[in-house]
Amino acid sequence: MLEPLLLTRIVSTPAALDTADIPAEVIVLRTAPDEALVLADSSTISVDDPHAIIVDDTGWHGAWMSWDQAIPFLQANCAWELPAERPSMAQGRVADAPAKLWLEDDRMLIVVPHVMARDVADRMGS
Amino acid sequence: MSFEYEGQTIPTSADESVLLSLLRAGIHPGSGGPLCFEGDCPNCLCTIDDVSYVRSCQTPAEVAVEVSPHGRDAPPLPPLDAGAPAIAVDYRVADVVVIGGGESGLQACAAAEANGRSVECFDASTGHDVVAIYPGPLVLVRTHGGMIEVECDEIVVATGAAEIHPVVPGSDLEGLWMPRAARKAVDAGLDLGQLVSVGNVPDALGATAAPGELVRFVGDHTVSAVITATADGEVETPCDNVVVGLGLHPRTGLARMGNGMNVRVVGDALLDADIPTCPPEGIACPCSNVTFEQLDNLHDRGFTHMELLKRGSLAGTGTCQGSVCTPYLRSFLQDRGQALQAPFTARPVARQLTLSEMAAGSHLPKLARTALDDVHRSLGARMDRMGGWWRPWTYGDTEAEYTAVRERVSLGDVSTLGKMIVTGPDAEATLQRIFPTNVSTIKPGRSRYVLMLDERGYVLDDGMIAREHDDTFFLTFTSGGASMSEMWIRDWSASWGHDIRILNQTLSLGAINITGPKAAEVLARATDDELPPFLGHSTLTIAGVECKVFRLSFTGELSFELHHPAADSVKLWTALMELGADHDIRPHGIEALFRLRLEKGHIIIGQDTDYDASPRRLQHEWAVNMNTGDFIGRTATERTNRIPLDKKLVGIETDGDTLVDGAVMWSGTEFAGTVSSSMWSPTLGKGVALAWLETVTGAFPETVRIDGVEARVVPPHFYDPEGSRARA
Amino acid sequence: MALRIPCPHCGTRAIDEWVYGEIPIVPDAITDADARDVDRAYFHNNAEGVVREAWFHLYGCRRWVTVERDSRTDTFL
Ligand SMILES: [Zn+2]
Repeated sequence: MLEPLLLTRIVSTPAALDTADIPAEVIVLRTAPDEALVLADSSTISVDDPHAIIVDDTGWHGAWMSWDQAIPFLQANCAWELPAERPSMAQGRVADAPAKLWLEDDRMLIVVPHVMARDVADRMGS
Repeated sequence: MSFEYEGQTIPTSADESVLLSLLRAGIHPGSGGPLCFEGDCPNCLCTIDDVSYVRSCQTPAEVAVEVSPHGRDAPPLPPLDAGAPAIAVDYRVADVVVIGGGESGLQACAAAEANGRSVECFDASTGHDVVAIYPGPLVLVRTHGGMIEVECDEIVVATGAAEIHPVVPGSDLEGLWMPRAARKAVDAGLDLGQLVSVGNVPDALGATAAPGELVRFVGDHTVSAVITATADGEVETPCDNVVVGLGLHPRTGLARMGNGMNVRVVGDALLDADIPTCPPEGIACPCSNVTFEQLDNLHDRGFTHMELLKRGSLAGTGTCQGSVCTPYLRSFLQDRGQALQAPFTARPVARQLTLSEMAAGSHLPKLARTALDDVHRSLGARMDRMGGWWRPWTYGDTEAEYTAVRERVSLGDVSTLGKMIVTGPDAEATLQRIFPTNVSTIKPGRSRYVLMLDERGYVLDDGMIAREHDDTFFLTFTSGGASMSEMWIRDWSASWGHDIRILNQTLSLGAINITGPKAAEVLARATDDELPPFLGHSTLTIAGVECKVFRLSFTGELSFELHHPAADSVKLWTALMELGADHDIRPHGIEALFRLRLEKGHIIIGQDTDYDASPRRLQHEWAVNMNTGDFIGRTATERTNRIPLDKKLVGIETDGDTLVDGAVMWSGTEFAGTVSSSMWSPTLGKGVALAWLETVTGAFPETVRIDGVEARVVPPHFYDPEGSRARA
Repeated sequence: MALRIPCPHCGTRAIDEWVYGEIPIVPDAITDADARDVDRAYFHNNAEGVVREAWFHLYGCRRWVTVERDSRTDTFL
C-alpha cells in the first residue's frame, strides 16, 4: 500500500524557501522553517540561496488514503489532532513512525521513512 | 439474554448491571458488605470474563459472558495476558471534559456547549470509567470496548458524593445497603423483606427505623439483627436487610489527581464532608483489611498523618482507593486530637486496569529496516536488534564470513551509519569547534576519522568527516549515534549563531561496504571511473548507481563504503555479488564485523566506551589536536591531562583461551579492570581483547589474570598494526 | 503520555515525540572562570519553578525548541 516516492529535499534560509521556484501544482511539505520535502524531482526546483542543499531523495514511501480509510487508521495510530485547514501539512508520530501528512478535502497522503514503511503498512492493515 | 455464574445460567435484561441480575437470582457475588450500586466500594467485585477486580454494579449485564465470585481473602490471580487481544485507544480532543453525568455534570455540559466549547462527558454508570488524569490535561477513560484518551483544556469534576459506608463489626455480612442502592433495589422489584434503617435514611423506603447510633450488625453470613446504642443502652432490632445512612463524603479523588491543572469541581463533589463517628473496633479499610486496632498501633508509633497512616497500613491503597476508609481515617485522627486532615494524594490510576488496557496504544519500539532487509532474510541471515535497527548478525557461517573479508572480498550492509551534509559559509567554523581536529587541513576529496567530545572531554560518538567542496562536508556517525549527533551539531551551531545548512541523510541513503584484498578489483569491474585513494572519496557511477565512494577501513582490509540512494540498494548489492562471484564473494554479518575490527583494535562506541571515556583513556590522543583552536571538551581535556591517568583501554592477549566480554581482570588480589570486547583470532592464533585496565597501587599492571587465565597487556592493535593492508 | 510540549512548527505533541535538552545555567555567584567551566560541564540544574529548557522534536520538525516548564506542575507555559 505504501509506494516508493521520489522527493526533493531542500534546506535553505527560510526566506529563500518562502519564495522558492517550485511548479504550482507540486505538493510541498514544509517540515521546518529551513527545510522542505517536495513531491517532485530536484530538476524542477530552484531556490535563491547559494548555500541551499537541494537533493533528490528516494528514502520515503507514501500512500494516498481516502478519509474513510484514514480516519479509523489515525484514530488507532495517532495521538494528536490534525489541523482543520485544507489543504495543509501536518507531521508527528503516526503508527510509531515520524510521519508527514498532506491533508486534502477528500483524501490524505501519508509519507514515512522507507525504513519503517513495512511496519506502518502492517498497521494500515494492508 | 444471560450470563454464566458458577455453573448457573443467570437471566438478565438490558439496562441492568451484572450485580442486579445476580441479586435477582438471590446471589450476593462478593463476600458480604454493604452494597452501594455506585462503584464506591469493593463489595460487589467479581471476576468477569477472565478479568478480576471488576465492579459488578458498574458492568452492564449485556457485556458479561462468564462471571465468578471474587473472594476477599484470596482474590484470584489474573490470568496471564499473553495472547490477550490488543486494546484499541480512541484518541479524542475536546475543550472540556466533564466527569460525571448527573445533574451538575449535565449542567456543566450545557453551559460549556452554550459557550461554543466542545465537550466530552463520561459517566461511570454507563461504562465510561475515568481512571486517570495526567498533566496536559489528558483524561484516560476505560470502557468495555477499549480505552479513550482525551486531550482537553479544562476538566469539570462532577463526580458527586459517596455515601459513607459502615465499618462497624459485622459490616461484612450480606443484607446491608446504602440508601441509594436500597432505593434502586426496591425500584427494581427486589424483595428486601423486613427492612430496618439506621441513621439518616429517607422515609420513602418504608423501612423500620432502629433507634440510636449504629454499634454492630449480627448474623451468620447474612444479617439477622442490628445493634444500636440508645440512652437506655443497646437495642437489638431483628431484620432481613438493613439500610444504613451515615452521611456523604464528596468524591474528590479525580479532582485531587488533577491537582495543579485546570480542574473545576461542581455539584455535590464540593460538599463539606460528613465526618462519621469512628467505631472502637472494626475494619476501617475493607480493601486492604486494615483494623482500627492496627491503626491505633501505628498511631502510637508516630504515624499521625493521613499519608503516614496510608503508607504504614496500606489503608486506601486497595481497589476502592480510599473511598470507604478515607472518612474514617480523617475521623480517627481527629478523635486523637488532630485538626481535620485533607484526604491523601491521589495518583493515577484510580481503578485496576488489565495489562492490556495499561499497554493500550503503546507498541514495541519500531525497528528500522534497511533497504536490504529482504535480501538479508532471503540469504538466511539471523537478524538481530541493534541501535534501533534490524541488522544481520550472521548469515550462518561467521568463520566463513570472516575469512571472505581477510582473504578475498565481502559485502556488508552499513546503511545504518549516520550520514549528514553540513554546508554554508560557517560550515568549517562549526565543525572546527565540534571536532577536536584541525578541519581546515582536510582538503576537498579527503576525509578523516574524528571523535566527538562533550564538554567534559568524554567521547560521545565517532565517525568520519569528508570535505566535498570548500564549504560542504559529509559526516558519518555510528548507527546508534545518528540522531544524537544531529541534535548536538544543531544545538551548538545555533548557539554560535553560525550560518550553515544541515541535512540528515541517514534514512535517505543506503551504504554498502565492499571489503577484502579483492575489493578494488571487483569494484573496478563495475565502473569506468578511478577509485579514490586511502582516506579519499569521490562520486562515481558503480553498476549504474551514483555513489559517494569513501575509501577507509574498519575491517583492517582494503575497503570502500558506497553511499547511494536508498532505492538503489538492492540493485547495487546484486550487481556487486554477481561481479565478485569468481572470488567467492559473500556477505558478512555483524558478528564477523565485530571480530574483524577487534583484531584491528578499532573501538565501538558503547561497547568499548563508557560515559567517561576520554580520548586519553581510550589511547586515542592521536585523534585530538590540541594545537588547533577552541573545540568542545578542550578545557576539560586540558584539565584532566594534568592529573595522573587512572584507567585506559588496552589490548589483552592470551595464548589459548577466549575471554568473556565483561570479565573481571585481577592483578594479584586487586581488581584491575574489565574486558570490553573479546574474541579468538584465527589469523593470529591467540585470544585477543580490548579491556579497561585500571592502575593497581599507582601503576598499570603488565599482566593480569582473568577467569584463572594469565593474560598479557599489549598495545590495542593486534592485526596489521602498520595498516598496510587497508592502504594497499 | 503525560507531558505535552508545544512545538512552534508542528503543534502540541506528547513527550514521546521529544528528546530533552538541558540549558545549563551557571549561578551568578560563581565568578571564577575556571569554576564556571566546571559548573557548566559537570553540575546539572534541578530548579523548582519555571525553568527554561530545550526539547528536540524527534518525530516532527527535528529542530530544537526552547520552552518554559513549571517543574512543580509539569506544565508548559
Ligand atoms: Zn516540531
